[in-house]
This record gives sequence, C-alpha cells and structure tokens, in this order.
Amino acid sequence: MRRVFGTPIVDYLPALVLWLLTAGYLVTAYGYSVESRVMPALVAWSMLALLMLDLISRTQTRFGRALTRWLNPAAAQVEAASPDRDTARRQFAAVLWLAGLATALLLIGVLYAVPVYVAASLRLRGRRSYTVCLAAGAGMALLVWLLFAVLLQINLYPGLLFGGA
Amino acid sequence: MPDLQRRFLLASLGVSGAALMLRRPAFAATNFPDKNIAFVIPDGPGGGFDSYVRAITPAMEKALPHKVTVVPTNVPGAGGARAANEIFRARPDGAMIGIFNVPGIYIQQERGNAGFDLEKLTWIGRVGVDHYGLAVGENSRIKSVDDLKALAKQRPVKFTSTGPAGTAYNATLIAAHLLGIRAQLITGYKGSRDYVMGAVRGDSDAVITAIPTLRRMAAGKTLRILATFEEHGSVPGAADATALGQPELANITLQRLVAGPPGLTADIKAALAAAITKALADPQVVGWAKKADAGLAPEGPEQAIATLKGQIAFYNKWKPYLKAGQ
Amino acid sequence: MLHVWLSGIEGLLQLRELTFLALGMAIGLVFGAIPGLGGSTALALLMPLTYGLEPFTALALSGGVMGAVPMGGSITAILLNAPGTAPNAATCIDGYPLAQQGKAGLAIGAAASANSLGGIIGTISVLAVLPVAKELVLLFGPPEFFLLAILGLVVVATTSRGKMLRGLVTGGFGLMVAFIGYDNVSGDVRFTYGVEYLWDGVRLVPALIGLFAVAEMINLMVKGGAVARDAGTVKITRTMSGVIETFRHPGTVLRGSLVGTVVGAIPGVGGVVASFLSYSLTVQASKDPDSFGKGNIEGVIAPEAAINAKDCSALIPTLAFGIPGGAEMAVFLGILVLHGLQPGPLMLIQNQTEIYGLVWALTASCILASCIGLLLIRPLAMVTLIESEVLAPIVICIALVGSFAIDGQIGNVVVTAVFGILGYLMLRFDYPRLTVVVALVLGGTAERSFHQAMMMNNGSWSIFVDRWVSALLLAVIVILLGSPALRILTRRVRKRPIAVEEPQT
Repeated sequence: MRRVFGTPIVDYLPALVLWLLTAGYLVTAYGYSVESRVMPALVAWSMLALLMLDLISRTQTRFGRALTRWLNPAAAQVEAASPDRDTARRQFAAVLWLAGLATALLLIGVLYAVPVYVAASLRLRGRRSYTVCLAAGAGMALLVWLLFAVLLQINLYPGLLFGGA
Repeated sequence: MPDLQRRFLLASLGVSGAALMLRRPAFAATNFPDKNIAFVIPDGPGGGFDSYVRAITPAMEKALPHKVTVVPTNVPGAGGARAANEIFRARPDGAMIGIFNVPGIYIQQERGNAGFDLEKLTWIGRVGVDHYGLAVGENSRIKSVDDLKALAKQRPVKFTSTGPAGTAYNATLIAAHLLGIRAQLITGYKGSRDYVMGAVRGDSDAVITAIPTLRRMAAGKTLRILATFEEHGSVPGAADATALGQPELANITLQRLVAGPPGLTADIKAALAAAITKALADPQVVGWAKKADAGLAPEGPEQAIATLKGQIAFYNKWKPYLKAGQ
Repeated sequence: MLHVWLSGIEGLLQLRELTFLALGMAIGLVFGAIPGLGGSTALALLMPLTYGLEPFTALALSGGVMGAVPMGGSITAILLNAPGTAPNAATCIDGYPLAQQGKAGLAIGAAASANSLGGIIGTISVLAVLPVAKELVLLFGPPEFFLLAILGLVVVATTSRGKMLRGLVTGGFGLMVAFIGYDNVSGDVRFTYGVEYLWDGVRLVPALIGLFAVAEMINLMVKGGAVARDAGTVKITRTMSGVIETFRHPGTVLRGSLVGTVVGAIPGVGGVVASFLSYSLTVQASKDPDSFGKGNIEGVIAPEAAINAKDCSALIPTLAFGIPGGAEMAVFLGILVLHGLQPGPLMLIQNQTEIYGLVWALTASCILASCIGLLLIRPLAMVTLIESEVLAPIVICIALVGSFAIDGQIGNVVVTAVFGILGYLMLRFDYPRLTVVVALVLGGTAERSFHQAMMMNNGSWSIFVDRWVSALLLAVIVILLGSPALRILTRRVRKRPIAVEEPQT
C-alpha cells in the first residue's frame, strides 16, 4: 500500500472524492439564479475548506498531527489498522450483493427479485441446503406479498423489463 | 457446472416463468367494470384531494353496474406530475382513473419534462371547484380592499404563497394584478395550510387562498375575509368580484377534475361518468361535504373538457405576465 | 378544565373504544418496527376502516397507533440498527452497541420505560399548554425556524466530540444533499441533473434506512458473526434492570421529555430533531461524553423520552391550525376531516372532549406498547444471535422493499442502496453519521426560512433581533458556540496539573 506523507493512499480517498464532488456541485450551483445559489454555494465553499483540513489532518506531518489533536482527537488511533486483502475482498463482495439486489429490484421487480436474492444469498454465502434456500426465498416472497401487496394494497414494482416506469 | 446447481437454477427459472404466465389478459369493454379500479390521488394521504376521493369511492362502488372495489391510490411526487404520468400511460381499460388539480397540473405540464398531455386524456367529469378569496390577519389594520390598494401606493403589499410552480403563486399574482395592487410574494411555504398560517402569524399583510380555508380560519377568528372572487359573494361582509368591478377574478379557481388514460372507449367513459355523478348525489357524500365544507360541483365529460380548456386559456393569457415576475 | 379531562377519560373507558385502542396499538407496534412503514402508513391503511366508526372511536384507534409506533421503532433500532421510524435513528447510536454487547434486554427495557415516562410527561405538558396553544404556535415564524435549524445543526456539530472536523464535513455533505430538488422559494430545480425522481429531493426516510440499517448489515456481512458479538453474553434477564435504569437518570428523562414536547410542537421541525437534540444535549451535559456511541444507556433513554413526548405535542399545531407536523400528522388530519372534525381554532373550543380523549388514548397506548415490548424481549433479543449470513439478506430485503413502499417510488430503493454504501464507508473511514441526518432534516428548513425571513423584512437582518423569540434563540446559539471555548479557558486558568490527554480509542 503506497503511502503519501506517511499515510496509506486509501485513507485519503473519501475526502478526495468528496472534494471533487463538491467542486462539481459548486460549478453547477453557479449556473442557478442568485437567490437559489446563495446557500448551496456557501456550504460548498466551506466544504472545500473543511475537506482540505481533513486531508491535511490525515497526513503524518507536524501540521497534520496538530490538526488532528485540535479538531479530531478521536481519530488518532483509528488510522493504525490498514485493511488486509481478505477484508477488502469481503467489503467488495458485500457491496456487490447490495448493488445486485437493487439492480434486480429495478429490472425484474419486487416479487421476483426478493426470492431470487434471498435464495441465492443463503446458498452462495450461507452454504445452506437447496431446500432451505428455496423455502426461505418463497417464504420471503410470500411475506412481502402479503404485507405490501395484499394488506397495504401497494402495486409491487414490476421491474423495468416487465413494463415498469 | 455441477448438477445440483444447474437443477437449482432451472427450478428458479421455471418458477419465474410460471409466474409470468399468470398475468391476466385484458377484458372486453362490455363487461365493465370487471376488476378493481384504482382512483389515483396526486398527493399523499391526508390532503384535500385525498379526502374527496376517499369520501366518494364507497358511493361510487354502489353506483357502478358490477361489484368491484374502487381503491384510492396515492401517487405523490413532482407536484402531481407523477400521478399524471401514470394515468397518461395506463391501459385504456378503465382500471385506472385519477383526480386532477386544474390549473395546477397544467402548470406542471408547462414545466417541460412532463411526459403527459392533459388535452389527450379522457376527461370524465368534475367533482368540485374552489373559488379564491382575499383575507388579512384578525388584528390587521386593513379593513377593506381599498385600504390594501392605498397601502400598495406606499409600498408593495406582501402576500404569502407557495413556490412558483404552485397554484397559489399564480392565483395571487393574477388576482393582485386584477385588483390593481402592487404585490410582493413571500414564497417558500410548503403547502396551502403552511402559507395561510404564515398570514395568520403576520408574516405578510394579506393572503389569497381557497374560500373554504378562509371560512374556517375566519370562524376561528384568526383571519378576516375582505373579498371573495366569485360573481355572487357567499361570505357576508366581504366584497365579491362583481362589487370589485373585476368579474374576471371568478376565473381564478381550483378545479377537481377526473380523467382516465387517452383512448378510453365511450361506454367505459359513460359508465364512469354516471357512477361519479350518482356518487356525488349520494346522501352520505353530501353529508360529508356539508360537514367538511367541501364544495361538490358535478359536471359531465363535455362540460369538464370545456372547463379544462377554459382554465388553460385563462392561464395562457396570463403566462407572459407571470413569467415576467412580480 | 378538570371535568373536560375526565370526560375524555370517561369516553375512552368504553369496551368498543378500548378494543379499537388495543387494535391500533398492535398495528402501530408492528408498523413502527418495519423500516419505511411507520405511523403514517398504518393510519393510511386504517383510514377506510374508520368510515363507519364514531369520531371518538376513530380517535381512539388513531391514538392507539400513534402511541405505539415509537416503541416498535425502538425495538428494531436497538436490535438491528434499523430505525423503524426516522426519530428512532437517534436510539440506534447507543442502542445498537448495547445489543452488540449482549445487553439488548437492558436497552429495550430502558427504552420501554423511557417511552412511557416521556409519554406521560409529554401528556401533562400538553394538557397544561393546550389552552394557550394558539398563541404559542403563532410565536414561531420563519426567523425562528431558521434559528432553530441553526441551533440544531450547532448542537449536533459541537457534540460530535473528538470528531468535530469530520462531523462538520458530514454535516456539510448532508446540507448539500438537502438542497437537491425543487426550491420552493425561487422555483428553480437544483442539482437533479435531469433525474425526475430528484424533483422532490432526496427523501429522508430512505436515506436513513440506508445509512443505518443497510450500512450495518454490510458491516455484519464483512465482519461475519451475529449482531451480539459474544453469544454467551446475551443476558435476557437484565430487562427489569433496564426498566429501572430510566428511573436512575431522572434528569435525562426530564430533559428528553421537555425537548420532545417543545420541539415536537413546532411544525416541520418535529420528531427527528427532537430525538437528536435530546441526545446531543444529554451528551453535552454528561460527565463522560466520550462514552456515548459505545453503549451508554442514557443515549437510549434521552431520545426515547423525547420521541414519545413529541407525539403528544405534535398534536398541538395539527389540531389548533390544521398544520401537520409531519407525515403521520398529515394522515391523521385526513382522518379528522373524513369524520367531519375540522382542525382549527374552533376545534379547540368545540371538540374538547374528543381532543382530551385522543390525548389519553395516546398515553395509554404508549404505556401499553411499552409493556408488550417488555413481554416480547426474550424472543426479540434472540434476533441478535442470528448469524449474519441469514440475518443480513433478510434485513436488507425488508429495508429496500420497505423503502420502496413508503410512496411506491422505485427510486427510493436506489437512494437506500447508495446511502447504505455511503453509511458503510462512513463507518469504515470514521465519519460520524449523526450530523448527516440532522443536516438532511434541517437543511431545507434552514434555507427556506432564511429567505422567507429576508423577504418579510426586505432583506434586513434586524428581524432576527427584533422578535424576542428569535433574539432568545440567537443568544442560546451564541452561548452554545462559546461554551467549549469557555471551558478550555477556565481549565487553563485553574492551572491544574493535568497531563496531556491520551487520545481516546
């Protein structure tokens, strides 16, 4: 893991990404009328400054460590552990599963995505037997259908592929 | 891939496939109604339109030729545009109709990006209409519209209202212009109850909103009604449009019109129109309307289209003035 | 006065009213627990059922629902870090760590009693205030809303002790997200980049569900195991000690209830602010602020007391002026209108029996729901023992579907998923989530109220000092901002031989 100013690069990423997003936000804000851009611009400029401080506070330089002591003392210890390969893989997998469910809900709709997700998750991650997985999937679909479609009379989203909006 | 996994995948695909087959085919129009009808409300539960629909649907069910449930369905979002889009794109089989705020929904359509066209919808009828009125706070020194005009000569008169995409904003600007009052709108309030409260509190000099709301506030001694924008005033002590010499004020309204998707056949439209008219005459609905001070003003399909076109024309006439600002 | 109170109770003590009260309570408990549903959905569902009922019975039913929802919400907040309703998000902060330490029973017990006490104190306050409710509500206008929003933001920023810089960053982020959508003041549509769903902005509840429930499930999936870190330490028997805990912190309960009553009565600011403010103030007042966020029982008691107190006081603007304080109140208003009860100044005069009956129904339901919560603690605490491979998919499923169900918009699912990932990143990179929530809630109000105040006063800032309530709020903000500096100065002056503070983990 490359280190810049004594800290692994990955620890700078959130502040860096947020800084770039805020800059984009600021540019967009200046495209609006004066009245509607006052507050967003004010907040965005402050954010840019705060994020610079955050980035500096994460470095191991003298100034950086002083900043941490004054403004963020609780952070001093958390920096220590760098993520190992295995944790990174598990994080990626967890995020992928979530994205998968969201995509499935969007594409094939609630009533199909729920059982497929639950069954697949229990099988591939939980290593439960096929019967248990299928039963759990069906059970969840039934629960969702009863609670939302029948009781609450909400139209369960049919999915983009099946004509949803 | 291993045998078990393949069987598992096939099983899931099979189940999904079977489920797909079970989608119901469309029914012939002559059996109408043969399935539940969704009555779409462009707002969340608890609002004005919501109350109307929920009061009417039981009576509608009684009035329809076959026994089905009319389900009040809330589709809030985008100032009513979301509901309008759903209805515009629904299948023309009478299973979905909706109530619309005219001219509010027209203002949304004009926003661009809308995705629906009001004049293409199948208009079924009208449920109610609200006229607007002008009021000031209970403790205000202003006693009449003339006082307001005098104030306007010194400085712009402040009115509370919703944002520029709202009906209230447009109603207030048009009315102020017709009355010859220089107006400054304090926008940003989130709904009609909110901006009327603002006037009660004294955020502004005066407020323009629907008459039932004004009546309620006046009964509670929080507002004083100075004028009602009707041809013949319904509030004693308050000037009406005729007395103010501006009959055009009576065109500033909030219409509650009902429509279905484009392409609805004539017999389905007739059946729905008849059911709504009968429902509005139902004694329970009439009783509710009296207690809730909700105006019932039924119209048939042709009249509803005329009303719609009239409101659109009125709004279009004022559009250049509204766009220019205050 | 007393005789009206009594007539309210009398009306309630009929078999039919009590039955509907109990029914409402049961439904409220379940709906409060499922993220994304909550009181507004329950009431909307019951609205058609109330058609044939007498107004008083409909009120008993509604009161039953509204009183029980918070307890349902606390249970999932504590067990799964999944706030059942938005205000319960504050309960998650210390409630969930307690569950992780195997003390779910303790936490739920404390939540139950805090709920009841908060509800009772809220009721008493409301009954005392109802006669002058009209005047009180009218005191708060745009300048006051703006300063209240600032106050909320300042309180939360200054209490993320030890993480102030990161807290300000996440708060700023929350504000930036809050500005997305149609701006009611100027009519501009901002930062939607053409996405129609964002016209109404980023909804709070889907974002909350993602930030807390989904993020925590991702965390569980990465770490493995169950919610309770050590299965052996799950002590169900500490329920009663949890209940008693609340009585051992009377100051916290009182503070929470008062904050809840006052803040809850202000329309639009409402429940989330009440619970987070109560939490933050408790942290500030505590002798050991760094223990919060790690399982300090006061961190459960404070928001819970506030939430139930606010339920009663949120009725004030709703009944007095027909101004709903939030989604739940808006639906409740609809029920009132359906039954011919017109909220407004007249209602306070003409329908006093109904109003007091409703208030008692709320209180009774709140206490009943707490008792039921206590009875169910054993099976509920078992949830903390379920393996993550089983628990996580189920919770994530319900969270995403519940998020969709709020108003049937599939876009909510995307919001929840995105905020879930963001919430996990905040966990991983040590950014506090509390400030995001408060900023999301208050950002819109702050901006809108500021512009309105300027429009009211023709652009002059004097409006903030001309009105006495604003001036008072301004003074409070200045004191809060100045107090940490003051504390540092007085410590230096005393010159005690304290060694350099060890950084806390």
